[in-house]
Amino acid sequence: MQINSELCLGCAKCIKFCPMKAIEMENKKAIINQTLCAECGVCHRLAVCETNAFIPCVELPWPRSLRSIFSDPVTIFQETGCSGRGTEEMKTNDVTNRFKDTKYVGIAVDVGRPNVGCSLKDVEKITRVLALLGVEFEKLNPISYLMKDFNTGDLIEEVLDEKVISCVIEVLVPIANVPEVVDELKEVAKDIDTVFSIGIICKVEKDLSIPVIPILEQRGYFVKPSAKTNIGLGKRI
Amino acid sequence: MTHTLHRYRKNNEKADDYVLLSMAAQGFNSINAREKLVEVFKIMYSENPDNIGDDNQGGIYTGKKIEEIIENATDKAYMDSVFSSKDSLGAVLNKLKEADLGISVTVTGDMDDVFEVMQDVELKPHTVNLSLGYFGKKELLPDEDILEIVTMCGHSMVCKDHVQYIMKRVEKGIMTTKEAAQDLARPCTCGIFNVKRAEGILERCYRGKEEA
Ligand code: SF4
Ligand code: SF4
Repeated sequence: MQINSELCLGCAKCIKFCPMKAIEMENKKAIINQTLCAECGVCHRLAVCETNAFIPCVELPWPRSLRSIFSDPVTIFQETGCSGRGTEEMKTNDVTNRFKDTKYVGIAVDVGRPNVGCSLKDVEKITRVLALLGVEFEKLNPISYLMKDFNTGDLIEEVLDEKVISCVIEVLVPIANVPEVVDELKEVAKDIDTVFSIGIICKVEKDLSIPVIPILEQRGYFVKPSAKTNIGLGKRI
Repeated sequence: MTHTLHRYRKNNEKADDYVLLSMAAQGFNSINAREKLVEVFKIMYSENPDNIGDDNQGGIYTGKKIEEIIENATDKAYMDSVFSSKDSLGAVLNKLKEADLGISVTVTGDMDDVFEVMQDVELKPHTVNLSLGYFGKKELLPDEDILEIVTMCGHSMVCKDHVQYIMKRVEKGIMTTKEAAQDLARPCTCGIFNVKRAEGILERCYRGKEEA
Protein backbone atom coordinates (compact mmCIF):
# COMPACT_ATOMS: atom_id res chain seq x y z
CA MET A 1 0.00 0.00 0.00
CA GLN A 2 1.16 3.54 -0.72
CA ILE A 3 -0.15 7.01 0.07
CA ASN A 4 -0.21 9.75 -2.54
CA SER A 5 1.55 12.53 -0.59
CA GLU A 6 0.06 15.19 -2.86
CA LEU A 7 -3.43 14.19 -1.83
CA CYS A 8 -2.62 13.68 1.86
CA LEU A 9 -3.86 16.52 4.09
CA GLY A 10 -1.99 15.24 7.14
CA CYS A 11 -5.17 14.80 9.20
CA ALA A 12 -3.87 11.51 10.70
CA LYS A 13 -7.38 10.04 10.78
CA CYS A 14 -6.22 6.87 9.03
CA ILE A 15 -3.60 5.85 11.59
CA LYS A 16 -5.96 4.15 14.03
CA PHE A 17 -7.37 1.78 11.38
CA CYS A 18 -4.12 0.00 10.57
CA PRO A 19 -3.84 -3.29 12.50
CA MET A 20 -0.07 -3.35 11.88
CA LYS A 21 0.69 0.23 13.01
CA ALA A 22 2.26 0.78 9.61
CA ILE A 23 0.90 4.29 9.00
CA GLU A 24 3.21 6.97 10.35
CA MET A 25 3.35 10.75 10.16
CA GLU A 26 6.41 12.38 8.61
CA ASN A 27 6.66 16.08 7.85
CA LYS A 28 2.90 16.48 8.44
CA LYS A 29 2.06 13.80 5.88
CA ALA A 30 1.00 10.19 6.37
CA ILE A 31 3.40 7.60 5.00
CA ILE A 32 3.35 3.82 5.06
CA ASN A 33 6.19 1.96 6.65
CA GLN A 34 6.71 -0.71 3.99
CA THR A 35 8.44 -3.08 6.40
CA LEU A 36 5.44 -3.14 8.72
CA CYS A 37 2.65 -2.99 6.13
CA ALA A 38 1.12 -6.43 5.63
CA GLU A 39 -0.86 -5.37 2.52
CA CYS A 40 -4.16 -6.25 4.20
CA GLY A 41 -6.03 -3.52 2.33
CA VAL A 42 -8.09 -2.35 5.32
CA CYS A 43 -7.10 1.33 4.99
CA HIS A 44 -8.15 1.41 1.34
CA ARG A 45 -11.26 -0.77 1.67
CA LEU A 46 -12.69 1.29 4.52
CA ALA A 47 -12.34 4.51 2.52
CA VAL A 48 -11.24 6.30 5.69
CA CYS A 49 -9.38 8.96 3.77
CA GLU A 50 -11.52 11.83 2.55
CA THR A 51 -9.15 12.64 -0.31
CA ASN A 52 -8.78 8.99 -1.32
CA ALA A 53 -5.00 9.15 -0.96
CA PHE A 54 -4.43 5.41 -0.50
CA ILE A 55 -3.05 3.62 -3.54
CA PRO A 56 -3.13 -0.18 -3.44
CA CYS A 57 -0.47 -1.88 -5.57
CA VAL A 58 -2.17 -3.51 -8.53
CA GLU A 59 0.22 -6.42 -8.67
CA LEU A 60 2.64 -6.96 -5.83
CA PRO A 61 5.99 -8.48 -6.80
CA TRP A 62 7.04 -11.85 -5.36
CA PRO A 63 7.64 -12.44 -2.46
CA ARG A 64 5.84 -9.32 -1.21
CA SER A 65 2.66 -10.74 -2.80
CA LEU A 66 2.62 -13.24 0.08
CA ARG A 67 1.70 -10.42 2.45
CA SER A 68 -1.55 -9.88 0.62
CA ILE A 69 -2.28 -13.62 0.25
CA PHE A 70 -2.02 -14.15 4.01
CA SER A 71 -3.33 -10.81 5.25
CA ASP A 72 -6.05 -9.66 2.88
CA PRO A 73 -9.10 -11.92 3.29
CA VAL A 74 -10.32 -11.15 -0.21
CA THR A 75 -7.10 -12.23 -1.95
CA ILE A 76 -7.33 -15.72 -3.47
CA PHE A 77 -4.38 -18.09 -3.18
CA GLN A 78 -4.28 -19.40 -6.76
CA GLU A 79 -2.83 -22.81 -5.88
CA THR A 80 -5.70 -23.74 -3.53
CA GLY A 81 -8.43 -21.57 -4.99
CA CYS A 82 -9.22 -20.53 -1.41
CA SER A 83 -9.21 -17.01 -0.06
CA GLY A 84 -7.13 -16.49 3.02
CA ARG A 85 -4.58 -18.28 5.04
CA GLY A 86 -5.61 -21.87 5.39
CA THR A 87 -7.71 -24.61 3.87
CA GLU A 88 -11.23 -25.94 4.27
CA GLU A 89 -9.81 -28.13 7.10
CA MET A 90 -12.73 -29.60 9.11
CA LYS A 91 -15.30 -27.21 7.70
CA THR A 92 -16.12 -29.64 4.89
CA ASN A 93 -15.00 -32.84 6.62
CA ASP A 94 -18.50 -34.30 6.33
CA VAL A 95 -17.85 -34.31 2.56
CA THR A 96 -14.07 -34.71 2.17
CA ASN A 97 -13.41 -37.13 5.03
CA ARG A 98 -10.02 -35.50 5.42
CA PHE A 99 -10.10 -36.45 9.11
CA LYS A 100 -11.30 -40.03 8.69
CA ASP A 101 -11.51 -41.27 12.26
CA THR A 102 -10.37 -40.39 15.75
CA LYS A 103 -7.01 -42.16 15.37
CA TYR A 104 -5.61 -39.02 13.76
CA VAL A 105 -6.17 -35.46 14.88
CA GLY A 106 -5.56 -32.18 13.07
CA ILE A 107 -3.63 -29.35 14.69
CA ALA A 108 -3.96 -25.81 13.36
CA VAL A 109 -1.47 -23.26 14.66
CA ASP A 110 -2.84 -19.82 13.94
CA VAL A 111 0.11 -17.42 14.10
CA GLY A 112 0.02 -13.62 14.52
CA ARG A 113 -3.59 -12.90 15.40
CA PRO A 114 -5.03 -10.72 16.73
CA ASN A 115 -3.42 -7.37 15.87
CA VAL A 116 0.14 -8.60 16.43
CA GLY A 117 1.27 -9.90 13.05
CA CYS A 118 4.19 -12.21 12.41
CA SER A 119 7.21 -12.60 10.23
CA LEU A 120 7.64 -15.80 8.28
CA LYS A 121 10.90 -16.26 10.25
CA ASP A 122 8.77 -16.84 13.34
CA VAL A 123 6.55 -19.20 11.39
CA GLU A 124 9.63 -21.18 10.38
CA LYS A 125 10.62 -21.62 14.02
CA ILE A 126 7.29 -23.35 14.56
CA THR A 127 7.37 -25.47 11.38
CA ARG A 128 10.87 -26.66 12.29
CA VAL A 129 9.71 -27.86 15.70
CA LEU A 130 6.72 -29.60 14.14
CA ALA A 131 8.90 -31.26 11.48
CA LEU A 132 11.19 -32.67 14.19
CA LEU A 133 8.13 -34.29 15.74
CA GLY A 134 7.41 -36.09 12.46
CA VAL A 135 3.99 -34.53 11.86
CA GLU A 136 2.30 -34.66 8.47
CA PHE A 137 1.97 -31.14 7.02
CA GLU A 138 -1.26 -30.37 5.14
CA LYS A 139 -0.09 -30.11 1.53
CA LEU A 140 -2.83 -27.68 0.42
CA ASN A 141 -2.02 -25.11 3.09
CA PRO A 142 -0.27 -21.97 1.75
CA ILE A 143 2.57 -22.32 4.30
CA SER A 144 3.27 -25.83 3.01
CA TYR A 145 3.76 -24.33 -0.48
CA LEU A 146 6.56 -22.20 1.00
CA MET A 147 8.28 -25.14 2.66
CA LYS A 148 11.64 -26.15 1.21
CA ASP A 149 11.78 -29.42 3.05
CA PHE A 150 8.96 -31.14 4.94
CA ASN A 151 11.52 -33.14 6.93
CA THR A 152 13.18 -30.05 8.39
CA GLY A 153 10.31 -27.55 8.28
CA ASP A 154 12.60 -25.02 6.55
CA LEU A 155 10.88 -22.38 4.44
CA ILE A 156 12.44 -20.99 1.26
CA GLU A 157 14.91 -18.24 2.25
CA GLU A 158 13.52 -15.49 0.06
CA VAL A 159 10.20 -15.40 1.95
CA LEU A 160 11.53 -15.22 5.50
CA ASP A 161 11.49 -11.43 5.80
CA GLU A 162 7.87 -11.10 4.78
CA LYS A 163 5.48 -9.84 7.42
CA VAL A 164 1.84 -10.95 7.52
CA ILE A 165 -1.15 -10.32 9.76
CA SER A 166 -1.58 -14.03 10.31
CA CYS A 167 -1.16 -17.46 8.83
CA VAL A 168 -2.14 -20.99 9.75
CA ILE A 169 0.09 -24.06 9.93
CA GLU A 170 -1.96 -27.24 9.56
CA VAL A 171 -0.71 -30.69 10.50
CA LEU A 172 -2.03 -34.18 11.13
CA VAL A 173 -0.80 -36.28 14.08
CA PRO A 174 -1.72 -39.59 15.71
CA ILE A 175 -4.07 -38.83 18.61
CA ALA A 176 -1.63 -40.27 21.17
CA ASN A 177 1.02 -37.74 20.10
CA VAL A 178 -1.15 -34.65 20.61
CA PRO A 179 0.09 -33.83 24.15
CA GLU A 180 3.72 -34.06 23.05
CA VAL A 181 3.10 -31.77 20.06
CA VAL A 182 1.28 -29.20 22.21
CA ASP A 183 4.09 -29.38 24.81
CA GLU A 184 6.64 -28.57 22.11
CA LEU A 185 4.51 -25.75 20.72
CA LYS A 186 4.38 -24.30 24.23
CA GLU A 187 8.17 -24.42 24.33
CA VAL A 188 8.68 -22.70 20.97
CA ALA A 189 6.18 -20.03 22.08
CA LYS A 190 8.95 -18.72 24.37
CA ASP A 191 11.21 -18.15 21.40
CA ILE A 192 8.98 -16.16 19.03
CA ASP A 193 8.13 -12.49 18.73
CA THR A 194 4.42 -13.00 18.26
CA VAL A 195 1.43 -14.97 19.51
CA PHE A 196 -0.34 -18.04 18.20
CA SER A 197 -3.48 -19.93 19.04
CA ILE A 198 -3.92 -23.67 18.78
CA GLY A 199 -6.89 -25.48 17.28
CA ILE A 200 -7.35 -29.24 17.67
CA ILE A 201 -9.52 -31.00 15.09
CA CYS A 202 -11.15 -34.27 16.05
CA LYS A 203 -14.04 -36.34 14.73
CA VAL A 204 -16.97 -36.79 17.10
CA GLU A 205 -17.79 -40.40 18.06
CA LYS A 206 -21.32 -41.82 17.65
CA ASP A 207 -21.93 -41.46 21.39
CA LEU A 208 -20.96 -37.75 21.00
CA SER A 209 -17.68 -38.19 22.87
CA ILE A 210 -14.56 -36.40 21.64
CA PRO A 211 -11.61 -38.64 22.45
CA VAL A 212 -8.93 -35.95 22.29
CA ILE A 213 -10.46 -33.91 25.13
CA PRO A 214 -9.61 -36.28 28.02
CA ILE A 215 -6.12 -36.76 26.53
CA LEU A 216 -5.49 -33.02 26.59
CA GLU A 217 -7.06 -32.53 30.01
CA GLN A 218 -4.97 -35.32 31.48
CA ARG A 219 -1.87 -33.41 30.34
CA GLY A 220 -3.17 -30.28 32.10
CA TYR A 221 -4.45 -28.39 29.05
CA PHE A 222 -7.66 -26.42 29.31
CA VAL A 223 -9.95 -26.89 26.34
CA LYS A 224 -11.94 -23.70 25.79
CA PRO A 225 -15.72 -24.10 26.07
CA SER A 226 -16.28 -22.49 22.67
CA ALA A 227 -15.54 -24.67 19.66
CA LYS A 228 -16.33 -24.96 15.97
CA THR A 229 -18.61 -27.85 15.07
CA ASN A 230 -19.24 -29.31 11.65
CA ILE A 231 -22.92 -30.22 11.87
CA GLY A 232 -22.86 -32.97 9.26
CA LEU A 233 -25.10 -31.54 6.55
CA GLY A 234 -22.58 -31.88 3.71
CA LYS A 235 -22.89 -34.60 1.07
CA ARG A 236 -20.78 -35.74 -1.86
CA ILE A 237 -22.48 -35.48 -5.22
CA MET B 1 -8.92 -21.10 8.04
CA THR B 2 -9.77 -20.98 11.71
CA HIS B 3 -11.09 -17.43 11.82
CA THR B 4 -14.23 -18.09 13.88
CA LEU B 5 -12.60 -20.36 16.44
CA HIS B 6 -10.53 -18.20 18.75
CA ARG B 7 -13.09 -15.55 19.70
CA TYR B 8 -11.94 -14.38 23.10
CA ARG B 9 -14.27 -14.45 26.09
CA LYS B 10 -13.31 -12.86 29.38
CA ASN B 11 -13.03 -15.60 32.05
CA ASN B 12 -14.35 -18.03 29.41
CA GLU B 13 -17.84 -16.83 30.24
CA LYS B 14 -20.73 -17.88 28.04
CA ALA B 15 -21.63 -15.52 25.23
CA ASP B 16 -24.69 -15.36 23.02
CA ASP B 17 -22.59 -15.66 19.93
CA TYR B 18 -23.08 -18.39 17.32
CA VAL B 19 -21.24 -18.13 14.03
CA LEU B 20 -22.32 -20.11 10.98
CA LEU B 21 -20.04 -20.82 8.04
CA SER B 22 -21.07 -22.63 4.92
CA MET B 23 -19.18 -23.65 1.81
CA ALA B 24 -18.94 -26.29 -0.86
CA ALA B 25 -16.03 -28.73 -0.70
CA GLN B 26 -13.87 -27.81 -3.68
CA GLY B 27 -13.47 -30.83 -5.96
CA PHE B 28 -16.24 -32.80 -4.21
CA ASN B 29 -19.56 -30.96 -4.41
CA SER B 30 -18.52 -27.55 -5.68
CA ILE B 31 -19.63 -27.76 -9.32
CA ASN B 32 -22.84 -25.73 -9.68
CA ALA B 33 -22.92 -25.23 -5.90
CA ARG B 34 -23.88 -21.57 -6.34
CA GLU B 35 -27.63 -22.12 -6.20
CA LYS B 36 -27.36 -24.21 -3.05
CA LEU B 37 -25.06 -21.70 -1.37
CA VAL B 38 -27.49 -18.92 -2.21
CA GLU B 39 -30.27 -21.00 -0.67
CA VAL B 40 -28.19 -21.45 2.52
CA PHE B 41 -27.62 -17.70 2.56
CA LYS B 42 -31.34 -16.97 2.18
CA ILE B 43 -32.18 -19.36 5.01
CA MET B 44 -29.61 -17.69 7.27
CA TYR B 45 -30.98 -14.27 6.37
CA SER B 46 -34.57 -15.34 7.06
CA GLU B 47 -33.77 -15.81 10.76
CA ASN B 48 -32.53 -12.24 11.34
CA PRO B 49 -28.80 -12.73 11.85
CA ASP B 50 -26.80 -10.03 13.63
CA ASN B 51 -24.41 -9.96 10.71
CA ILE B 52 -24.18 -11.83 7.41
CA GLY B 53 -21.95 -11.89 4.36
CA ASP B 54 -19.85 -13.80 1.89
CA ASP B 55 -16.10 -13.99 2.64
CA ASN B 56 -15.35 -13.28 -1.00
CA GLN B 57 -17.56 -10.21 -1.29
CA GLY B 58 -18.12 -8.60 2.09
CA GLY B 59 -20.84 -8.37 4.70
CA ILE B 60 -23.80 -6.10 5.33
CA TYR B 61 -21.74 -3.78 7.56
CA THR B 62 -19.09 -3.39 4.87
CA GLY B 63 -21.81 -1.83 2.74
CA LYS B 64 -22.91 -4.86 0.71
CA LYS B 65 -26.58 -5.28 -0.04
CA ILE B 66 -28.20 -8.68 0.43
CA GLU B 67 -29.37 -8.75 -3.21
CA GLU B 68 -25.84 -7.89 -4.37
CA ILE B 69 -24.31 -10.76 -2.37
CA ILE B 70 -26.88 -13.17 -3.81
CA GLU B 71 -26.36 -11.97 -7.36
CA ASN B 72 -22.57 -12.14 -7.25
CA ALA B 73 -22.23 -15.40 -5.32
CA THR B 74 -20.14 -18.09 -7.01
CA ASP B 75 -19.55 -21.81 -6.50
CA LYS B 76 -16.68 -20.73 -4.21
CA ALA B 77 -18.81 -18.53 -1.95
CA TYR B 78 -18.27 -18.78 1.80
CA MET B 79 -21.62 -17.86 3.31
CA ASP B 80 -21.30 -16.58 6.87
CA SER B 81 -23.66 -15.29 9.52
CA VAL B 82 -23.83 -14.76 13.25
CA PHE B 83 -26.75 -15.17 15.66
CA SER B 84 -27.18 -13.99 19.23
CA SER B 85 -29.58 -16.52 20.72
CA LYS B 86 -29.98 -20.26 20.99
CA ASP B 87 -33.54 -19.91 19.71
CA SER B 88 -32.52 -18.28 16.46
CA LEU B 89 -29.68 -20.80 16.09
CA GLY B 90 -32.18 -23.63 16.54
CA ALA B 91 -34.55 -22.09 14.01
CA VAL B 92 -31.86 -21.64 11.35
CA LEU B 93 -30.39 -25.12 11.89
CA ASN B 94 -33.83 -26.65 11.62
CA LYS B 95 -34.49 -24.88 8.31
CA LEU B 96 -31.07 -25.92 6.98
CA LYS B 97 -31.73 -29.52 7.92
CA GLU B 98 -35.16 -29.49 6.26
CA ALA B 99 -33.72 -27.92 3.10
CA ASP B 100 -31.27 -30.85 2.82
CA LEU B 101 -28.94 -29.03 0.42
CA GLY B 102 -25.88 -31.24 0.97
CA ILE B 103 -23.67 -28.23 1.72
CA SER B 104 -21.36 -28.24 4.77
CA VAL B 105 -22.16 -25.93 7.66
CA THR B 106 -20.16 -25.27 10.81
CA VAL B 107 -21.32 -23.55 13.97
CA THR B 108 -18.87 -21.84 16.31
CA GLY B 109 -20.04 -21.16 19.84
CA ASP B 110 -20.26 -22.67 23.27
CA MET B 111 -19.99 -26.39 22.50
CA ASP B 112 -22.48 -27.52 25.15
CA ASP B 113 -25.08 -25.10 23.86
CA VAL B 114 -24.44 -25.95 20.21
CA PHE B 115 -24.68 -29.70 20.89
CA GLU B 116 -27.90 -29.14 22.85
CA VAL B 117 -29.48 -27.14 20.02
CA MET B 118 -28.34 -29.76 17.52
CA GLN B 119 -29.93 -32.51 19.58
CA ASP B 120 -33.20 -30.54 19.66
CA VAL B 121 -33.30 -30.38 15.87
CA GLU B 122 -31.98 -33.94 15.50
CA LEU B 123 -28.60 -33.18 14.02
CA LYS B 124 -25.39 -35.02 14.92
CA PRO B 125 -22.03 -33.25 15.34
CA HIS B 126 -19.58 -34.62 12.78
CA THR B 127 -16.19 -33.05 13.60
CA VAL B 128 -15.04 -30.38 16.05
CA ASN B 129 -12.24 -27.85 16.13
CA LEU B 130 -11.31 -27.13 19.75
CA SER B 131 -9.42 -24.10 20.97
CA LEU B 132 -6.56 -24.19 23.45
CA GLY B 133 -6.28 -20.40 23.46
CA TYR B 134 -3.27 -18.13 22.98
CA PHE B 135 0.44 -18.84 23.42
CA GLY B 136 3.61 -16.79 22.95
CA LYS B 137 4.09 -13.07 23.67
CA LYS B 138 0.67 -12.51 25.19
CA GLU B 139 1.83 -9.15 26.53
CA LEU B 140 1.45 -7.89 22.95
CA LEU B 141 -2.29 -8.56 23.03
CA PRO B 142 -4.73 -5.77 23.85
CA ASP B 143 -6.62 -5.77 27.15
CA GLU B 144 -9.41 -8.29 27.59
CA ASP B 145 -12.37 -6.05 26.69
CA ILE B 146 -10.70 -4.96 23.47
CA LEU B 147 -9.59 -8.53 22.79
CA GLU B 148 -13.21 -9.68 22.98
CA ILE B 149 -14.10 -7.11 20.33
CA VAL B 150 -11.16 -7.48 17.93
CA THR B 151 -11.33 -11.29 17.87
CA MET B 152 -14.87 -11.14 16.51
CA CYS B 153 -13.21 -10.37 13.18
CA GLY B 154 -11.19 -13.52 12.72
CA HIS B 155 -8.96 -12.00 10.05
CA SER B 156 -7.81 -9.35 12.54
CA MET B 157 -9.11 -6.47 10.42
CA VAL B 158 -10.52 -4.61 13.43
CA CYS B 159 -7.70 -2.56 14.92
CA LYS B 160 -7.34 -2.16 18.68
CA ASP B 161 -6.52 1.54 18.28
CA HIS B 162 -9.79 2.09 16.47
CA VAL B 163 -11.67 0.26 19.25
CA GLN B 164 -10.02 2.51 21.86
CA TYR B 165 -10.95 5.59 19.84
CA ILE B 166 -14.56 4.41 19.52
CA MET B 167 -14.75 3.64 23.24
CA LYS B 168 -13.72 7.22 24.01
CA ARG B 169 -16.44 8.54 21.69
CA VAL B 170 -19.03 6.46 23.52
CA GLU B 171 -17.74 7.76 26.87
CA LYS B 172 -17.99 11.34 25.62
CA GLY B 173 -21.56 10.72 24.41
CA ILE B 174 -20.64 11.38 20.77
CA MET B 175 -21.79 7.91 19.73
CA THR B 176 -24.29 5.41 21.10
CA THR B 177 -23.06 1.90 21.80
CA LYS B 178 -25.17 0.70 18.88
CA GLU B 179 -23.60 3.17 16.44
CA ALA B 180 -20.17 2.30 17.83
CA ALA B 181 -20.71 -1.44 17.41
CA GLN B 182 -21.89 -0.98 13.82
CA ASP B 183 -18.86 1.16 13.02
CA LEU B 184 -16.53 -1.47 14.46
CA ALA B 185 -18.14 -4.11 12.23
CA ARG B 186 -17.15 -2.28 9.04
CA PRO B 187 -13.71 -3.87 8.50
CA CYS B 188 -15.06 -7.45 8.89
CA THR B 189 -15.34 -8.65 5.29
CA CYS B 190 -16.92 -12.02 6.18
CA GLY B 191 -19.92 -10.79 8.14
CA ILE B 192 -19.10 -12.64 11.36
CA PHE B 193 -18.48 -9.65 13.64
CA ASN B 194 -21.35 -9.86 16.14
CA VAL B 195 -22.71 -6.33 16.41
CA LYS B 196 -25.09 -7.14 19.25
CA ARG B 197 -22.34 -8.72 21.33
CA ALA B 198 -20.02 -5.77 20.62
CA GLU B 199 -22.74 -3.43 21.81
CA GLY B 200 -23.01 -5.43 25.05
CA ILE B 201 -19.24 -5.32 25.61
CA LEU B 202 -19.16 -1.56 24.99
CA GLU B 203 -22.04 -1.05 27.41
CA ARG B 204 -20.28 -3.15 30.04
CA CYS B 205 -17.09 -1.07 29.65
CA TYR B 206 -19.00 2.22 29.67
CA ARG B 207 -20.96 1.27 32.80
CA GLY B 208 -17.74 0.13 34.47
CA LYS B 209 -16.16 3.54 33.80
CA GLU B 210 -19.23 5.39 35.07
CA GLU B 211 -19.26 3.39 38.29
CA ALA B 212 -15.50 3.90 38.86
S1 SF4 C 1 -6.66 10.07 6.17
FE1 SF4 C 1 -5.87 10.63 4.12
S2 SF4 C 1 -5.50 12.82 4.29
FE2 SF4 C 1 -5.66 12.09 6.40
S3 SF4 C 1 -3.52 11.57 6.99
FE3 SF4 C 1 -4.43 9.69 6.20
S4 SF4 C 1 -3.83 9.68 4.04
FE4 SF4 C 1 -3.55 11.77 4.74
S1 SF4 D 1 -2.60 -2.22 3.87
FE1 SF4 D 1 -3.10 -2.88 5.99
S2 SF4 D 1 -1.09 -3.03 7.00
FE2 SF4 D 1 -0.79 -1.79 5.13
S3 SF4 D 1 -1.07 0.32 5.80
FE3 SF4 D 1 -3.07 -0.35 5.07
S4 SF4 D 1 -4.11 -1.10 6.92
FE4 SF4 D 1 -1.92 -0.95 7.41
